[in-house]
Amino acid sequence: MKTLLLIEKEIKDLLKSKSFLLYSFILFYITAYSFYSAVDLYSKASMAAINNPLYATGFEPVAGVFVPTFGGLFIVLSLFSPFVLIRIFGIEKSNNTISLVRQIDFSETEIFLSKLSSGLFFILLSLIAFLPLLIIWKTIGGHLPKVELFLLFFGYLLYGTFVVSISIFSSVIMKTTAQASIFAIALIVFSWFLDFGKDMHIFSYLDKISDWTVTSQLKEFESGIFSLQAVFYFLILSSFILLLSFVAFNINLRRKVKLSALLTIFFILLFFFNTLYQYKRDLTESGKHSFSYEETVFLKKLPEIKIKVFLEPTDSRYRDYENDFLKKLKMVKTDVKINFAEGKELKENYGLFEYTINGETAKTYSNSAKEIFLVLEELSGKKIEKSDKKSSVYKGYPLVVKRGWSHSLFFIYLILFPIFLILFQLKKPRRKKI
Amino acid sequence: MEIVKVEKLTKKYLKESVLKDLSFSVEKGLISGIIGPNGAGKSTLLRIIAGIEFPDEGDIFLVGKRVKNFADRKAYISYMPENMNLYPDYYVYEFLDFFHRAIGFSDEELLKALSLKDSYDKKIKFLSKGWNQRLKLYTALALKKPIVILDEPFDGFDPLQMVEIMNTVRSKNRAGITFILSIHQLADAEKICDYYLLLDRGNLVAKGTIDELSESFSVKEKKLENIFFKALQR
Repeated sequence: MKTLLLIEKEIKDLLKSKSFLLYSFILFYITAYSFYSAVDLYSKASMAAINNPLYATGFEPVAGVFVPTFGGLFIVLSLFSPFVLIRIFGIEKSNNTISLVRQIDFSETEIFLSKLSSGLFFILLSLIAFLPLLIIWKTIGGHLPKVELFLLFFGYLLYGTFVVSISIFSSVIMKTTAQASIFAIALIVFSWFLDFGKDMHIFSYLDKISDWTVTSQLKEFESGIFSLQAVFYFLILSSFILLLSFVAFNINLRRKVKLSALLTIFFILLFFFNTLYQYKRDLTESGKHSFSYEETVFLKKLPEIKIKVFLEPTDSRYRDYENDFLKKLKMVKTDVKINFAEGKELKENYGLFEYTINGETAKTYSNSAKEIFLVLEELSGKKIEKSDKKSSVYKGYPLVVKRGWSHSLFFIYLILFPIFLILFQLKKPRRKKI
Repeated sequence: MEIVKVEKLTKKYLKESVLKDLSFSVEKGLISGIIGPNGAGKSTLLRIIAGIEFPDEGDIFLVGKRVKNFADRKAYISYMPENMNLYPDYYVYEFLDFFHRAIGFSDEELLKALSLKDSYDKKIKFLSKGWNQRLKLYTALALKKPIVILDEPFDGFDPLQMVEIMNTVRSKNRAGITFILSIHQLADAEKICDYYLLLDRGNLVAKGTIDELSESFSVKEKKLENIFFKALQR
């Protein structure tokens, strides 16, 4: 019961803070603006697709409207939420009221968990702010792909948990809230630098590291892929940072450096084990990350496939190949091995793809899935068998929106919620009896 | 009876010693004052006794038992740090509601003694320093622990308020609570303390009652100020 009292206090402190009010204004404005812009673009592009069924298949509400809208949330969560979250520990630390709370019958674990709950509640609130946008989208005639949307929410909940853990860590180890804010944002932005490094292919080891940045893991959820590895990645990373924070926070622990080192070793091992097993499922309605049912059955029958690529990783042909074939192949065959040719070998055979199955090798210049399947059939001696089970055809959901509608709903969303928050903050608390 | 015993306590910040091999004990039922110039290590010593910081060397014993961390001290000590800024955006009643619900009771007698009900409807950030100190003192005393450690508790009080507050501390002391106070105003210390620990640059220069200190420093006029200057040779 006492822990609940502490959680209630922490949540109240958070909701009543000026930084939360400011954050809410930014959150509502950026997300509403992202949503409005995305709907506007989607609507304009839909005009040509309304009477063209073939063109319409490319219109997916999640990719076209909700991922760009969540892009706004990504910026807000990464760059603004640490300023609010750092308060949870920072204010009591700088005001020294933490020593009073400690003297009441609350354990270090209770204090830490209540503050963590308040941080997670804050992330949930940030995500709940999107629910009215879903209602607006439905009201204006949009289609809601529930599973994909749930996956997107879930991915952002995990990312939010990461931001909470980084913010808590910063506020616990740094002396002032200003230092903690800078440190938290630097840690978050560091992940972005690794992503930029990957895009520019500066070092090959940097490419490998950037496969494991938070942003690259979040992309799985955004693209509609449920990856168990990505889920565990976020859980392991956040738990690691939170446990380090708890060690630093706990006033009763003496050998903090030694404990932190042990935790680091343990979590490095957990990270390593997490890279060994992959489970991915394409949850998009369009099934855009999967081959057809027949092709999938065929691939599952094949032994290990080795691919040697005679292209620079930055080459646009390789990018197309990766998006149209390789990603889908990895969904079925998690053990596929890819190597890049280098030096003279690369120069002499530039543009080739070499496939090896059971020691047999075949080469092709094509990066089209249809032709690669022919090569794989020839190499394996197996055929893609026709099946009665038909893969469902995705019809697409183009939508042309009347401007008046979206305009008025957008402003209701933008104005009503902040007004509600201001009223809540101005309300004088009630007196309670023990 | 020794309620607090400090043995060979040393604390360093970046290789600089702020407390050097301190050993002393505090008797149960006394009001002990830690006095000394700025930077003597008074607040650090209180933080270590309260368990907020770990010493580099040395031990602390409470009621004869060696205590290792904050959790071990929780049943014995309540501590009011000097620089605690109680929830500024809370109303006084709002803070007290939380505090009372957390400890499970409200000390009506103490609230009355400290006249806190007069400021119930004010926000804490709008309270004067003296009223803020009263609120902090209330939290330290209402926890009902046998040892109360107060760091500069009389800062911000006018002379009238001071009498009121000292009376409250005295009455709690008569009820059996042991106080350890850090006070930089010697006149205030002299009015309330029974026993003194004089610190200078991390060293324990002297300890005892005013009579014992006057005798050991051969001070004719038994005034704390005279003893202080003599002991520090300034």
